Amino acid sequence: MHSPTTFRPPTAAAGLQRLIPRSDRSLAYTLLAPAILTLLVILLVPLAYNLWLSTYQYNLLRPRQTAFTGLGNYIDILTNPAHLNALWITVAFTAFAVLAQTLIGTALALLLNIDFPGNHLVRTLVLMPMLISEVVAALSWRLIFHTEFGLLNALLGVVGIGPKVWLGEDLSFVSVLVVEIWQHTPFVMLIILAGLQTIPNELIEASRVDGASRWQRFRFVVLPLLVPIILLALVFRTMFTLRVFTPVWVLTSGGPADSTLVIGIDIYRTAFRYYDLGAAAALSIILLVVTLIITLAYMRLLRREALS
Amino acid sequence: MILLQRLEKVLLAVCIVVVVAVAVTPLAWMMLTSLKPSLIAVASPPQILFTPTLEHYIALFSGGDAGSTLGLAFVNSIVVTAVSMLLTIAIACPAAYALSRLRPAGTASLTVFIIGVRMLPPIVLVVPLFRFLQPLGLNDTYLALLVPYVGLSIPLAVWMLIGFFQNLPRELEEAAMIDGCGRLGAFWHVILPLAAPGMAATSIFTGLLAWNDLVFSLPLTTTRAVTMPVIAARMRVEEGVLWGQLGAVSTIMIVPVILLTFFVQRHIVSGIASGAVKG
Repeated sequence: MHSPTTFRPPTAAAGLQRLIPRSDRSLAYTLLAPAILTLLVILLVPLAYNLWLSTYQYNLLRPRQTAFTGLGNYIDILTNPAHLNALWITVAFTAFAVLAQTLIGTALALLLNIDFPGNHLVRTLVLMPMLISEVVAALSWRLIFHTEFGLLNALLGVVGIGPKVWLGEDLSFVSVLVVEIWQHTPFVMLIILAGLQTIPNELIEASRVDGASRWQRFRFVVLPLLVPIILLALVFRTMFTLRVFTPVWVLTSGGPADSTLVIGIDIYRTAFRYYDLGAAAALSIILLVVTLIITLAYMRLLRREALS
Repeated sequence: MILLQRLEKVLLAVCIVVVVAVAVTPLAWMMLTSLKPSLIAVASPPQILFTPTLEHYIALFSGGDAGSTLGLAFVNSIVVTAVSMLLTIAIACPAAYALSRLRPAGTASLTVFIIGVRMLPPIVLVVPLFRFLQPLGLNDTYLALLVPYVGLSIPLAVWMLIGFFQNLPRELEEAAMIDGCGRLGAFWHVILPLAAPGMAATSIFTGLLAWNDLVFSLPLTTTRAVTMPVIAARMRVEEGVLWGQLGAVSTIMIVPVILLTFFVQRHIVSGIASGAVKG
């Protein structure tokens, strides 16, 4: 594997350039090949199959009726109130979750950027929710939300508020939202905290010397520098919340009365309860397209932000 | 002025206590429930003082139908997580090295491709995988889980590793090459040992993906290859008796994660951060 060209002694600074010989190019592609091939086979082939499947009427319960329908599945979905409702719930859920995660995450990052004793321990504890399984997170919250012996109703009882059915039809959307926000705010905090640490101290000192108040320092020095990083956190959280599945599945499975039926659950149900694989494939493609559109819109915003 | 500063300190302390309490309480409560005798676990109002018992852990692992399934799921989870971590790192490391150091023509678009596939929602892959694996009799096997886990972990791993490799001083590697190491030799003897902490952090993140996943394990496994999250998600019982066992399963799932977190805390923060901020 030793390529002879790498033994050439370097002459000067220009010699360093020669240390990266031509044979490195083939080495580079060789090193990249396994990753690229794996991704093509594991991710893009299924995606292509999904695209193809979505143009077929294909139900495992009625295999004889399999037929090409073109955009039939898409038209069915976009004219079916139940699926449209799922789309709407997903978008609303994502908007609320990401907004709350960004606001709380930024506040937490500013809080934990302060130097106080035990800071590292506190950071680790606050990160805990994002590292544990979504199944366990949701189960823990089921216990908290339990109508009879849940902690939440007990605490509310202390201040004189009567028990509520947190996972009932009225509150289920909000309750699931709370779990989502609780679990993934630490991710936003982490990214913003990292961003805060790249802001040069001199900049903040200078504004302090110039007599800027604490709020002015945040508003006019820190925040503008943070905007690209906050946007980046937003991109990630939006992408991941649009596909939410696990917490909803464990908390409510999309119910009661479809009040928490997000697209992720809708796809699963369509495929593995109704065995309508064609429709499930079309729903998947719709989810992907929505994700792409929103992500690309953010990216443009991010680039404009980076340029200005 | 001093009073104001003191007030500020108190306010800060209160904020921190509240934040930590909100972050930790649900998990601590679940773990506490796993130690409660069955009757106390469902007491209303909730009890904090009780004589701890291991009955739920014993019940889980001592034979019976649920017991043997849980033992199997535990082993399955460990095997699937470990193998997917190893495969991912073996595939992602060379790629990340090539993209961060060798930078061949097309590096930018290849990076965008590899990292961009993270935009693909995993659930999009579920139906095709189910259809591909079924005729081969591969549903409900380790392979059914390893395929998507490795595929989805590679982008994350490459992204994190690029950050770590870029942080290593180029001079070390060049010195090794001047001393007669080839490119691969320098990678193997110099870069990999230096990047070990970063690789550990990366492995933990890819491992978490497999250890915690429900999106693939729920539809693609039924009995033989079930993992812990599937078992936990199936225990949807309203009769309070089983909350103790549910707590026990949850605790078994999170204790390794908590231990690892404390162990590599520093690298986790820098790992996510380096990829994110340097983009």
